[in-house]
Amino acid sequence: MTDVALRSERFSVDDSFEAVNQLLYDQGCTDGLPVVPPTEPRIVAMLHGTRRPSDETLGALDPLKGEATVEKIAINAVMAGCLPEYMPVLIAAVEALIEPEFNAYTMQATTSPVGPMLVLNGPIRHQLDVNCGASCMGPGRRANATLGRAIRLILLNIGGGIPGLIDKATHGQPAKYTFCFGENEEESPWEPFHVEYGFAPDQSTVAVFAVHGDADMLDIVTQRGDAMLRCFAQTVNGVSLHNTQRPFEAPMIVFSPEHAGIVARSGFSKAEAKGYLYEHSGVPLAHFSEEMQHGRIERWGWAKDGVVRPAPGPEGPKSFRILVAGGVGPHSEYISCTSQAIRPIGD
Amino acid sequence: MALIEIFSPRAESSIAAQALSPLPADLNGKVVGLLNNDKPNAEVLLAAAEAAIAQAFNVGEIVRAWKPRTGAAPTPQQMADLSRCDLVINALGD
Repeated sequence: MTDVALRSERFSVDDSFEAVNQLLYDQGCTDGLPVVPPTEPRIVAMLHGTRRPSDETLGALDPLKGEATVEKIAINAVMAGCLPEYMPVLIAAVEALIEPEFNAYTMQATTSPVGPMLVLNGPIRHQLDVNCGASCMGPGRRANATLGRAIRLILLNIGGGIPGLIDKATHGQPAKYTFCFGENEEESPWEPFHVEYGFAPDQSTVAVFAVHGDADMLDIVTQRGDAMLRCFAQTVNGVSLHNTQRPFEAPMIVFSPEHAGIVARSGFSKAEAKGYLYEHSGVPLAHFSEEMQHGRIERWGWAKDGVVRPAPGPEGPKSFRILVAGGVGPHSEYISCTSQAIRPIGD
Repeated sequence: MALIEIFSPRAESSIAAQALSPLPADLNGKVVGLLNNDKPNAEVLLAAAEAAIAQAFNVGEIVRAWKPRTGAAPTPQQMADLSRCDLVINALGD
């Protein structure tokens, strides 16, 4: 890309970091944190991170149906603090958000706290120094912090998910500032997440999930895989958790390498672990309120054998999502998930 | 102070601005749709709306649709059914 003519609307503002940020904040274009001023040299440099032309439209992003052009993605990437080499990830992630099966509309306009989580697989993790290990869901690594942030700014500025106006989240969640990490494939006893979906191990992908929240699952002592999975299934069985109250999809378990090793050494493949979690999940009907039992569960036939499991139906046993990530320590993560989409990362 | 030029991160919507359709002057003989978004109490709200309409008008037909999931659009069949309506009342929110 040698010559880029930017097409976006321009604003003239006092040449100070504070003035630029005040303007963008007043226009509702930020996440409340300071942003990198989206000047022409920065945007052009960002666009050099991809071979895609700046005027290419990936599609319309719900609910505003904003045109997600490569240029607009680059502007939001600048604001988030991304490096130009992150652009292929952002382009693939936006393509995932636009896929009808992901249903970004539901994520953007709801009272649920739902926000996007990005998970990277393949060589891109090392190429971009994406944290897959200790503190991978926390602060410290530029790629993790800015990729997730850029996607949130894109959902705001291109998709129109304006907090309080369109985004009606009762509370929201901190992960709506940024949530991005890589799978710790090197310390996983199982096949990587993207390989389950037909991608080659050496292919780089980004998966986008709509997540409602997460919880630490601590287990310091259990050494048998079946016992650990039964304990984790009890976390899944929270009556008020989203995946129980609206059991259309199953949640995600992000195993620490330590916990994954215990389960795998006990003889569980990833598929077998999913099936075991499913069998041992299930909230008894009587644990729900009467309104829930009679008004929703009975109406839609969510209960089987007197319990409600996430993702009831023939695909249920395969439906749990399993990843391995994180560093040393006896902690795994329960993540409440609804939709997902996965895309290969191009250039 | 000198000025700097920055670029807007906001996208243009691909949807052309649309005005609301005018409400019918009355609903006598009209086809009225009731679209339930599958949230609790939507059924209660729409039943109350239907009762109020029945008191005031002699409606031609009521078309009822109940989305299978709140977050999804009505099914193609539901959209086809609702497209016959002169007015659709859509229960939204929680």
